[in-house]
Amino acid sequence: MQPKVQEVLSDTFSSILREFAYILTERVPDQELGSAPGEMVDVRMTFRGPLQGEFRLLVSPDACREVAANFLGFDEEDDFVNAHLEDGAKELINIVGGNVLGNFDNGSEPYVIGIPSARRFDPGEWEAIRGSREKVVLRGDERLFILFLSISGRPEA
Amino acid sequence: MNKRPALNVMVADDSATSRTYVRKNLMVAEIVVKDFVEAANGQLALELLREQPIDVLFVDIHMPVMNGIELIRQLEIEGIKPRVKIVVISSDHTLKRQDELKDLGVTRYVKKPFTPEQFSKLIDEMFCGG
Repeated sequence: MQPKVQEVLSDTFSSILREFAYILTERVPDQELGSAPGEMVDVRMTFRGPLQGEFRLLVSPDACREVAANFLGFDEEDDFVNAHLEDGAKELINIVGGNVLGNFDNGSEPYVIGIPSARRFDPGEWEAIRGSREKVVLRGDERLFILFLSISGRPEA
Repeated sequence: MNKRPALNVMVADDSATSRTYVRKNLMVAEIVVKDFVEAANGQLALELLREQPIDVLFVDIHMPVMNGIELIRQLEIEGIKPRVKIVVISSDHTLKRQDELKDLGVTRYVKKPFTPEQFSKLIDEMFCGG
């Protein structure tokens, strides 16, 4: 990933977490990533337009809970928050992805954004994730927020 | 500026979190809501809008079954659009998308994530001549 794209990704993601979920984050270099974290929610969202590709977000259930609770002004133990952890992660990737894409090409061309899908993270993928250059890793409140952007190129005519 | 009326509000969004976020923002903005109706996609929203008097519809663009753009077009075809103020809420804020929404006669466009202050301002503009 080009450094400028990585910067847009990181700035947009950290700004949304700070302003709307009240979570201050810092970038985490790859060499600081240790062994595979525990349970993670793995959310993906495709897009196509001037560019096409996929966003992917990896967050722990605790991080999902904190984001959703702060976003909605609820307690982390609230029934709604706990019943909608994956939904909260999907909404987060939708907001971050839409805002990142709006910053490309001066936001002049529309994108068709897919419906986000969620699954449980497979820890067997961790080594590949650690080595991936298509990601930014943020840490806030001692929790990791890992965001990938895979651009597969311009769509076929 | 006129006093804010109590409103019948619908939010059409496939995310329960997003629908709840709209409700929270209305509450924090001290907007009086008579009836708050939720729909998880455009088709369900359309069916409810045929039956119920709604003053303002908050609608996402990207939804399964029937998306927000298709819903707005259908509201026009069925003659429902003139009686509903339509506010599109979306993270998709490209300029062409905003032009497309203007052409569809959308009343307002709000980028996700939004704030209660934005809601307060747009309700005043739409219903109080502010």
